[in-house]
Amino acid sequence: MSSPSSEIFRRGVQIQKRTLIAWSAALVLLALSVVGAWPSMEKSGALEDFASGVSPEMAAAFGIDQISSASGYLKGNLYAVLLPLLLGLMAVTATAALTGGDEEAGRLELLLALPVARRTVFLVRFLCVAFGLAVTSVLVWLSVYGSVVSFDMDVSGGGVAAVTLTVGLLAVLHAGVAYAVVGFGLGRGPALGVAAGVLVVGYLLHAIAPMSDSLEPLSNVSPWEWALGGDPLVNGVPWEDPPPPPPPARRGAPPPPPGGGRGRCRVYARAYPGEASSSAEK
Amino acid sequence: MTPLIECTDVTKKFGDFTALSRLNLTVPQGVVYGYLGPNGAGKSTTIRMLMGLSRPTSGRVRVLGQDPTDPGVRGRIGYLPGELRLDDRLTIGQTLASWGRLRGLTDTAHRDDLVQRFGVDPSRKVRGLSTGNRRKVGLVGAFMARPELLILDEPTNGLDPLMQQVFLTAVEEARDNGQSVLLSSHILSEVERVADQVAVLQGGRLAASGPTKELRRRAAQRFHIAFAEGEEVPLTGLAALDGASAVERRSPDGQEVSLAWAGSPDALLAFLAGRRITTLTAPEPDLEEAFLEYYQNDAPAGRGAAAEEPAGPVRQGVSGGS
Repeated sequence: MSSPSSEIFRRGVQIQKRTLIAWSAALVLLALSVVGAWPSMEKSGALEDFASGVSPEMAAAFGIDQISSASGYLKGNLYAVLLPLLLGLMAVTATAALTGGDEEAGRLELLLALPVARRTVFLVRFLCVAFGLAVTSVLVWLSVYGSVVSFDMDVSGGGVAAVTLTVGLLAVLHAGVAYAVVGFGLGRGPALGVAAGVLVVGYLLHAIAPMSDSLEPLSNVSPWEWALGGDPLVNGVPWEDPPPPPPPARRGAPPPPPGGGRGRCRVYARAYPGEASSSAEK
Repeated sequence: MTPLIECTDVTKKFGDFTALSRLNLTVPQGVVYGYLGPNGAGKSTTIRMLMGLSRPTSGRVRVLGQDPTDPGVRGRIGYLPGELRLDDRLTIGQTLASWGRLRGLTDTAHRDDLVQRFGVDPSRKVRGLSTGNRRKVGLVGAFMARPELLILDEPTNGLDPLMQQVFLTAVEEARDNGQSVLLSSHILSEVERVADQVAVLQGGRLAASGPTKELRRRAAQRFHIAFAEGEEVPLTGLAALDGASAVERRSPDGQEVSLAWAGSPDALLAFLAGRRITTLTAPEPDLEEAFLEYYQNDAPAGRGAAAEEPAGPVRQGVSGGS
């Protein structure tokens, strides 16, 4: 990296230092409190009560269909919705602020008048955002992994690393969406709107589309599906393309009858025969 | 020799608003060039295009013979933006060091000299600096690398008179050093002392350009004359003089007359010589008055109509701008 680029990088990191610290602290706190609640939740059996009140489709949509297992608990409370959504928002807001936002506010005026190429400035600032996301992801990973080890949860360390990585990459992807919108000259507002829209619509497609057979194929266009569809917490990073379909047998079972292929539901179906019969026969 | 700056038929539109209209501007090397015009005339729009920060809607901009969007060219230019945004989190010293690294500046002797002359304290945080002090930081940043060309947008804005002198001295030194300077202003007297040539911009069009002295001679100067008590006020006589315009009483029945005068004041003084006057003042002209004529050519109302309404002609001239 030549000297001007490293200077731009250093300044970019310096600019977002405070927001980065705030986001990291918030997400680490979230992760710690979620994982920290596990031992008492596991003992009391409250989780099974919680999940049993929700229909299996809804449970799958919110990622709480396996909530009484350690990995299901982590997914349902952290990795399925909350962490990707928050990290994605962090990516989108940081990118929009550091590129379009700063330019609109005139804060790039002097920098762009210096002997550095415009694309260098923007590219390096994108790297700053990616760097911030990496730092936050690593901190979240360390706090979850540390808790998992200390509570002796039945979750693999590799799985935690894998799901944190895919969630981090999901955030980088959305930073890229915001960056692209700014690149088309549309400024901060549209960048925020479009990227946050992609984030939310992606979540909906990933979560809601599998509930309906006709909509199910749409879930494959969702970045959330790419990141989380292969269940990286259990199966590791889905290096292969397409991601291995099993255990979340939603797409796996070839002729899915209504309500079919929901292997995960049966986990608690067995525990609660009365309610399982109603949900299994739907 | 290629001109330093060459704008050919440059037009810039923001939506329906035309900020610049077919501007042709040539700045030769080794001069201090004053770029004048009231607020909103299009000065900053031009300058941002010269720095490659925006592109013309049509026409061609060349700086140092090249397209200014090329970063290599910008390395040879020192720039002070009209609206200077500094990073509040840094100290002045850190700000200057950061610019230096981005410029690849290694020799800091000149920078330190400028810091001292502008009375800037490098250890102070940028947050809490006044407009004038921020401007001084920006000026040190523009001058410190001794660029071939300095483009300074409203450099004296917010500077106290002492610092204006320091600034003008720095500009003169730069010129003696073979550097060229383009500086914009809406106040003629700021530019007059150092500028060899000036261009006057109004409503996005070039109203006049040429050597400063010549423009100054053609430009109008305002005179206030207070006639002694009992002396008849020769309004029509004054208005008939060649060179006088906008002749008006400052109050309906008062003894004070104000007029705009273009050219040498010989004839005016000769006319007044036989009359008893208590005071004769010629305030430092601001740009609007100095270039009254240019503005009036553009204004819808003619000179006669304007003369009946005190302070009217000036306003009319400027209204198109801001």
